[in-house]
Amino acid sequence: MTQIAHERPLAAPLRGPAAAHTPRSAGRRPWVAQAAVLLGALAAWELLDRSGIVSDDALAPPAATFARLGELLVTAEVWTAVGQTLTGWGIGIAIAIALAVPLGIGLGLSNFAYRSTRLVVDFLRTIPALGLIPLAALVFGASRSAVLVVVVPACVWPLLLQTAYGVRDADPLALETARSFRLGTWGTLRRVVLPGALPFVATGLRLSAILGMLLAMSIEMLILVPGVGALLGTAQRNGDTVDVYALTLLAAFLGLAVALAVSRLERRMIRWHPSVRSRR
Amino acid sequence: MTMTDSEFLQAIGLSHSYVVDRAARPVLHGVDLQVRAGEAVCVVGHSGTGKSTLLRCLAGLLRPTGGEVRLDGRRVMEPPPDLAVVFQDYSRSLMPWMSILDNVMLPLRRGLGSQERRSRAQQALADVGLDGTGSLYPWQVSGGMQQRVAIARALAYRPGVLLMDEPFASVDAQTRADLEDMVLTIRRDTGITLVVVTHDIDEAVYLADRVVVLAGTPASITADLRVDLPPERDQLTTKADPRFLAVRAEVFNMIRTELARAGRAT
Repeated sequence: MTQIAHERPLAAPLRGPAAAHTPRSAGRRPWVAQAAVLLGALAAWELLDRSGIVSDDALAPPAATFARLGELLVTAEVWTAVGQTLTGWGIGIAIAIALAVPLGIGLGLSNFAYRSTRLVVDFLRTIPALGLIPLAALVFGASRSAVLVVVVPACVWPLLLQTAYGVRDADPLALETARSFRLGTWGTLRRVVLPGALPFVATGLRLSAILGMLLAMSIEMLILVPGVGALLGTAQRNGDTVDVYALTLLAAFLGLAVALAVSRLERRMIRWHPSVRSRR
Repeated sequence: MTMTDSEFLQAIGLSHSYVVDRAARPVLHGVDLQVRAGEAVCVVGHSGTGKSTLLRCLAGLLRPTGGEVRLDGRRVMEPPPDLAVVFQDYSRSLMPWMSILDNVMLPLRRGLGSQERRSRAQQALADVGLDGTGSLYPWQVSGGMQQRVAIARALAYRPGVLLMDEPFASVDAQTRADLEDMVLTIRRDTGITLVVVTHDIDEAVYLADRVVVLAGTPASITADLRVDLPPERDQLTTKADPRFLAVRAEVFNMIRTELARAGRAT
């Protein structure tokens, strides 16, 4: 229950004229502050390394880490791994969308279905995705199927629930307008309900995409499914500290790239939405 | 055709109750209303009388709990094809993800062909003075313009009857006057039958051939006044015309008396 209540405001569309007057940008030149924080973090890392508090086995110096990352980025091995991770993740998200969006529409349209499935949905979504890893390893071994078996069920929930919320959120007056113009069930769904639900679906997609990437790399790492996660897992098993740090950075950049790409896609999908309008 | 002209749009013994806390709360009781083809009728009453309920019943959006609505002789059970509604809240009745042109094309049947749909929508936009704004989004234009878009959308649908629910209550006074004149022009040019629900007595008298007063709890029609003014109206001269002032005073007194009676009753 609380989890549902928590997710809801993420995409709750603003309505009315007030929404159009969001200030253009909250801060002046946010990138200056961001760069400062980044430099500060790097300086802290460097200081921590030089102080000798942490042993060299546990902490690699920043310079060496970035140098190693540079070396890794020119190897075919790393790019193959990036490709494998992205492919597994992409397939997982695609399957999750194909399952969750139609189901979410169905749940959102039928009050009865929504209410009667709530308990089951709330129960199922609390099963920790990582808990499926041993089972996936046992059944599928170090294969892409193992990744999908964990990623797909985990990514279905945000998409499913957000889609259902979005459909249920359809404005009563918009629906009444559709009815008075006799758009019919299909016309109303296609031209009024679904476009209106898109901001919610986009939020679900953003949540799922990021969650899916984290999970995909985690599974690769734990059961050595070929990909960035497996490189990281191997480095750790070999006790190569600098490699571990360099690959962790790579994994972080990959996650960041996915997050940025999905936010961009989200803004394109809902150009008309008050949360996006002000940024244009 | 056996029916007479006065029976184009009619409410016959119309009653409606909402269920509140498992008890029926009657809002309308025994409302009888006849609107002739091409006539402009304004329904006035103070807030909460059930004006919108009446309009939604007339539009086929709400099934009355008693009595019936007939349009052109046929009983209205669902929104009829020959009728369009303009709501007060344009920001919610227009789709923010559609351009203004797409919004106006929304009610037009696919069967018309995209060429015809487009040209009808553009014509309707021109009729409300919004030429060349089709590619903008509703939220990029002012409230008054948004309400014009909603009116254009209704006109593009080419209904015989246009119902308007407090259409100008959310725009500023000057825009309101402009929109009232626009509606009069449209009516003169198209001969459309017009039913406008409003709480504003001046607006009702200015727009209407007839003003009906909805009052009481549950509400019924307590007065039906003919507005004896020429069809050509003007914001300044019409509103200073003794005949305008006479009807205005009559409606005003009626509503005030009704309110006083209700006040004494409670």
